[in-house]
Amino acid sequence: MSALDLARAQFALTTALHFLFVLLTLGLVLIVAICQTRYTVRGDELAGRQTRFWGRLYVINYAVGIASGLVMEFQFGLNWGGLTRIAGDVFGAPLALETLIAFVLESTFLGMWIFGWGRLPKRLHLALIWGVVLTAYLSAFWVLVSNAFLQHPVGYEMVAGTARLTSFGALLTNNSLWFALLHVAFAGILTGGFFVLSVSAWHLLRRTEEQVFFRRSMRLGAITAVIGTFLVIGVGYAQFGPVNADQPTKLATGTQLATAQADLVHRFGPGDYRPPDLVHGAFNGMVQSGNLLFLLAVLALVLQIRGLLFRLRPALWVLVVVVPVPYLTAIGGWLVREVGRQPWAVYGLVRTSDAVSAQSAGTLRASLIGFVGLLLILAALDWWLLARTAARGPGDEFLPLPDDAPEPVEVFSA
Amino acid sequence: MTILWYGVLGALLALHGALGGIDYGVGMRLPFLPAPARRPALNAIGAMFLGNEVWIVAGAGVLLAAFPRAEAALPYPTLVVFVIGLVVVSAGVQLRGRVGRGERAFDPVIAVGGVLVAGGFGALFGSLVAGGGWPLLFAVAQVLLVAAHGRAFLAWRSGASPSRWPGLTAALAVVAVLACGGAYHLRHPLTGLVLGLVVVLAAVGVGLFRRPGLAFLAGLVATGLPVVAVGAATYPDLAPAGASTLHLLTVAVAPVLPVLVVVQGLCWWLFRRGSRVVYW
Repeated sequence: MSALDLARAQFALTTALHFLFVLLTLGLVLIVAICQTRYTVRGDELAGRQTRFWGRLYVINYAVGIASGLVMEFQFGLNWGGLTRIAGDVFGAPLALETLIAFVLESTFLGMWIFGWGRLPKRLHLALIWGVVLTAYLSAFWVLVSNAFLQHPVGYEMVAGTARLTSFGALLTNNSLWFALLHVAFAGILTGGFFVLSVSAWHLLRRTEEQVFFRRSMRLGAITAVIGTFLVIGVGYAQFGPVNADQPTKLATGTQLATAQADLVHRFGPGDYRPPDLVHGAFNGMVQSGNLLFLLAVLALVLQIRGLLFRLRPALWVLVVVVPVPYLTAIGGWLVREVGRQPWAVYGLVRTSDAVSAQSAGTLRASLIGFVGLLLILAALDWWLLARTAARGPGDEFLPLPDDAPEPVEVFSA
Repeated sequence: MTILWYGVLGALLALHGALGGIDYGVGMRLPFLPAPARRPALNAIGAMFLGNEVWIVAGAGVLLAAFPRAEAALPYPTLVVFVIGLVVVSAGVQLRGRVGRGERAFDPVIAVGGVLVAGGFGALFGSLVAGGGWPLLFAVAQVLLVAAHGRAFLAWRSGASPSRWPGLTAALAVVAVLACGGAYHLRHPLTGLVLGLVVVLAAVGVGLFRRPGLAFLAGLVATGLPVVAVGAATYPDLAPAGASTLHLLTVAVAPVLPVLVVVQGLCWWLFRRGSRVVYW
């Protein structure tokens, strides 16, 4: 494989791994915050236990979300020196704002939230998790502002071969931004909903002691999944307009594609401007899968009337095995957005072949093996921990301990 | 505005050295602590662990946006090793607590990760000084400084009076003094030398101060200042981004920085005392 192929492979694999954890982060944090709001405002103790249980899973997932995010952050400078040299002035700024405004606050809030149980006033503790929700979605916003520039460069001018920022407002009103952002947000929300559905379904199947706990969780998960799938599909269709206008080669086939190809040859000189065929396969797979998820979500909600779902074991099994589907669907979507952009790193401005750093193939191969290997190990460990923690269910660790407990006690979930 | 963002970058990297250094220093200590002391050591960082990590993320973000051509000029293998260390410590500590039995197997891995981060960080700014053996020397210095800093932090949080560590302190002082020799290569050698000597003094202070709070404070200086020393002494080597980008960053970040400082301060203040019962 050439240096370019290795760099692209590393970016694709690390981004995909990162996004798997981001999806669940976005969806699950919202569910945790809702449960904690019920607990704080209404004193609903089961909601408090829900907060602890789903929150524990959220924190385990978040750990590898950060770890893979660290790799992403340095990857531009490491492997894509050409891109940062030419366009870094413009697309680097939103990424910096993501770190400086969103991530910093998100991590600090989360650290306080994790350790704040029983130590912080309840309302402050609740405010912290909502702070995490806000900053998590703000993170997604800034990353997409940057990515939207790569899809459809605006707000810049070329000065001596370097892109200089001319209009931040143009970056924020980029056609390629808002529907994509909403699409990602609802994809996260539906993933959180389905995760809760899957884990709850498993416990209901096993007839563990926590039937009431998981029935209530199933309802919350189903509502979340229905809202998420309905809106992700709607916003997805809304993206057709901007994509076909700004990136004519991405989704086109047949004569439309030939026309777009000819047009780009005319503008940019000879070359193949058509993205690989896998984009169409990924797109179709994503759409079918999304529709299926919507159907399952609606059924999961409707069948809970009169508790019918809880007695339908085959239906519960379906909800258990569907757990990887939202993730695969989302990866399909990203393949469309990113591979569909090829051969451009910045559409119409910087080719991918010019964007890569001047490193040897050997160096990039070592980097690929090192980073992807490490992240795969962490992902496997994390999913094993998630499965085990989910299977054990909520403990009764939430109950306050007597004041005369003799020694410093730690109450953490095992 | 270039100076402003150079300064912001330096501040963020210094905070990474000092506050992130707490995380890595404690991580490096883990395998050397007796088993019952390890969980309390991690609880001592507790709520601040995630907050301490944000500085390198913010620093990398500023590097990318304000000095877009600088990162590609850093030595590639060193940067890769540094990032691997960051990932290992970050994920290692967070997942260790959720594993239950077998958690102690994480500790040597976390410690190695801590060495990679501290050493990698030292090697990176050491590479700005000169080539040859200088990055390695700075790497060793930063590893020793961070290790001592971790010990001082644990002593401070547990309230125990720290044992004096003449061996480590002597080694530290020697290495730090040697590193000061690198000032010869720098654009502003006097600046580098003066700041370097402050680091040496702080390093000695970490090992020899009786009061744990003072030792910890010295540790903060000792781990945070080296990158500032190199940065100040090599100014203005980094090529900045265009004025419009720097202007945008300034306008967008200025209102948030006080919030950030307040929130971090709140985090340290709210969790200043250890708790009898720790839910997490």
